[in-house]
Amino acid sequence: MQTAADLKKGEKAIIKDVSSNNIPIKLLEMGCLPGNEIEIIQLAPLLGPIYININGSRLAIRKGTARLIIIDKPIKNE
Amino acid sequence: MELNIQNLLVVLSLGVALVYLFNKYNSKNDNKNCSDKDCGCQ
Amino acid sequence: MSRQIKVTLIGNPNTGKTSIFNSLTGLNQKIANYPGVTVEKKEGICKLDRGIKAHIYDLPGTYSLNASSIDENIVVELLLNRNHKDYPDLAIIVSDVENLKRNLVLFTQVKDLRIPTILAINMSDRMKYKGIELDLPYLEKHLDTKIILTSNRTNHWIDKLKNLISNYNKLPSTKFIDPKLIDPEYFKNLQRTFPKQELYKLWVVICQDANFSNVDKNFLANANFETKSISELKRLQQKETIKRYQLINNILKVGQKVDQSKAIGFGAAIDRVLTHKIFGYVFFFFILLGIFQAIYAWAIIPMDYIDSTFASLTEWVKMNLPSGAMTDLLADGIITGIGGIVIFIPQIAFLFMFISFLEESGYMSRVVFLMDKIMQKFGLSGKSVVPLISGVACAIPAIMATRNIESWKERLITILVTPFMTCSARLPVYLIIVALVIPNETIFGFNYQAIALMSLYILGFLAAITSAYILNMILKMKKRSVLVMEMPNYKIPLIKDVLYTIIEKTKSFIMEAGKIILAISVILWFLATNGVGDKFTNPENHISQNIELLSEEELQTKIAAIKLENSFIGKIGKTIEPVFKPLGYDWKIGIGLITSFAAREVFVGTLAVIYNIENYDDSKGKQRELKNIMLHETDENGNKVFTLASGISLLLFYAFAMQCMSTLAIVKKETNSWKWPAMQFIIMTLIAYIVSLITFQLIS
Repeated sequence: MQTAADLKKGEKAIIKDVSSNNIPIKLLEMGCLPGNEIEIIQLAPLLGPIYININGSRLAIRKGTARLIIIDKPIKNE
Repeated sequence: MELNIQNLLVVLSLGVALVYLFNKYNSKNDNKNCSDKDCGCQ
Repeated sequence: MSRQIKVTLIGNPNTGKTSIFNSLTGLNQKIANYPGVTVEKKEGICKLDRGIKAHIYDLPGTYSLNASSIDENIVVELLLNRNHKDYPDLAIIVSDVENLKRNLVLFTQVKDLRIPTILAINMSDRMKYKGIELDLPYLEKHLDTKIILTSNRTNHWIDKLKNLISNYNKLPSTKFIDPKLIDPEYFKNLQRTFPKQELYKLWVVICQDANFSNVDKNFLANANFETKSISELKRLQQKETIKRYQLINNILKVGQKVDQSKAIGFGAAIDRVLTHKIFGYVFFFFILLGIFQAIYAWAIIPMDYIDSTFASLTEWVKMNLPSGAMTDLLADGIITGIGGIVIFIPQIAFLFMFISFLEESGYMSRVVFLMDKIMQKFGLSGKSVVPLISGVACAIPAIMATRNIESWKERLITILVTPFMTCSARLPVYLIIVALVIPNETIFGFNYQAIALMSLYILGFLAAITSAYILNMILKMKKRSVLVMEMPNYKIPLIKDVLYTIIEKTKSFIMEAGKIILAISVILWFLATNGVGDKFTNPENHISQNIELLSEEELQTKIAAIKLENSFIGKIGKTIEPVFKPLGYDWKIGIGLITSFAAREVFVGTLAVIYNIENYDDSKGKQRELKNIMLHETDENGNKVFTLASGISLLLFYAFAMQCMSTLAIVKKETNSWKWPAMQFIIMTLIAYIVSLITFQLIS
């Protein structure tokens, strides 16, 4: 099962599901919903936060939170 | 201390300062009335 | 007849709410509490036509009614509590045009609380740069509200908005979502159990997180309602969010058209540089350096001016008002006390100006992104960076700035360690002691004194993160480690908005810390000028030397010295002298340490009084005098009081001791208990004592 934490910088993917118990509701409110697209803009060093673009909202989340976002296979940038 | 205006004012200022500090470090609570149609009211 | 209505400005962070607030209220603003990143209660007045007066409240930014930090909780509690004195007659939801979809989540939620709402779409000037087109009539109809396009680059919308506000009671108040659509069984049951309550509002109350909220949920238990577990509630919340987005998406599919090809923006390119794993940090380091450099260079000028003004004022009072105790209190206690606060305004104002720029421009979020992992290793959050930097001005607004930290443990640790950062008040103490005991020579082109000063700043920072590390290991509490930080679009802040921020933060600093310092100055003055016993009332009888041999000035000086030594504060000082002797301080310095509990900067003024200078003023001439006196001050054995050993010991004491009562008051308020400020006080002072003790004993 691939999660957003597995994506590399610049990769995009469609969100399949969210791990319901632990995911902060705020993330959903920001647009992290099944069917929306997530893009990795930047990775902070030392396994730090991930800078993502979810459905138009640009946010930083910690790696642990990213593991709760289940995704489909990453979209290749042609 | 003599009983003159200046000394009186000083004692007054002192009193104000002490009362102010006392109030600052004590919290006060007000009582409100809530109807039972209003959840979230406090 | 003047009617008064209450209007709250609500919205996501970074939507420019405050700009709208400023446009509506001008300078008719007041702050009810100490400033932080966003203030707790910012209120302003806006006069509408037909004699209606609107009280406008600017609330902290929040993304929805599901609060995840104390900051956000303030908004929710207000909206749920009809008895709150600021409960709004009208809510203006401020949205930014580029994130309309997300902003509508909050909008529709507030509408569902049955509060009359207007939608303000801000930054509308950016619409064409982003290829966005809005069908306003369609949106107004389907969102069932009135919409206004606003922008901080134009003014024409202000009157229209005021008009909408005065007609607030004509606004439609239909629900957006029927809660029963979220989960029919649960909500039907809920409504059946509480038939008189507004269903959605009830739901929001149930969802309130006990960690942040004081909302009373007892009525649930009383009514015998089968409460759901936390995870079940979460699932329902998620369902609500999904449902809302479904409805919002349907409306925006028609009402909003975005042509990406028309979008112009440099944000992405700038981000690639500023969040770069190497250059990002380099840039941040230089920004910090630049800020500190600028502050010292710029703040000196107004500071000197303020100094001499207050000194002149003191002199004027003494000469023109009838002599007596009150006049002395006014001159030596009150004016001097106020002057001691006012002199910090330039430094604090500049620092807040820079922080405000960094935040309003959007850069601060990138700093949080860069620093979060490092901060976490010390038990802090990336968001702790702002409080730590602000702490260099003053710990009080810094501690309030911790309100947006989601995790309670991270927030608490930040609050507890921020006072270690070298605040402005320590500076006068550092400057005079360094000038006194550190040689004014250079090594490899660097001045020893400058190095000493820099080291003290670095020491403060190291003390902060080290204690954070230790606290992180010791404190056993549930660690909810969440960070969801929006990275707003870069924008150039309006000078007007930055100016308002500086004015409001400075005003509050003076009001809050100022009042406490003033009160304590009055008390200290009283204790220093009054006493009992013959030595105090008849000092002339206790002069050891032959009075005839002394000049008038020397006589007066000796009398003043004896009176002071035997005043209440003198007695206190002599009593505690044995405590401080091992650190290298005499009873006079000891008194200075006590008075520093009002405010650290009071130390220098206290010493001036004690070392027998009647009208201490900081202009060049007199300062050399104080320094000269301190330089030659000796104890009863003829040894110098201010040596390298005692000097460094003193510097370290000030670096570590928790001396500021105003800070303790704020910590108590923000942590809601006496436990934490008490612990802070005891431990920090203990550390200060031990370190100073060891240092003094080692060096001497």
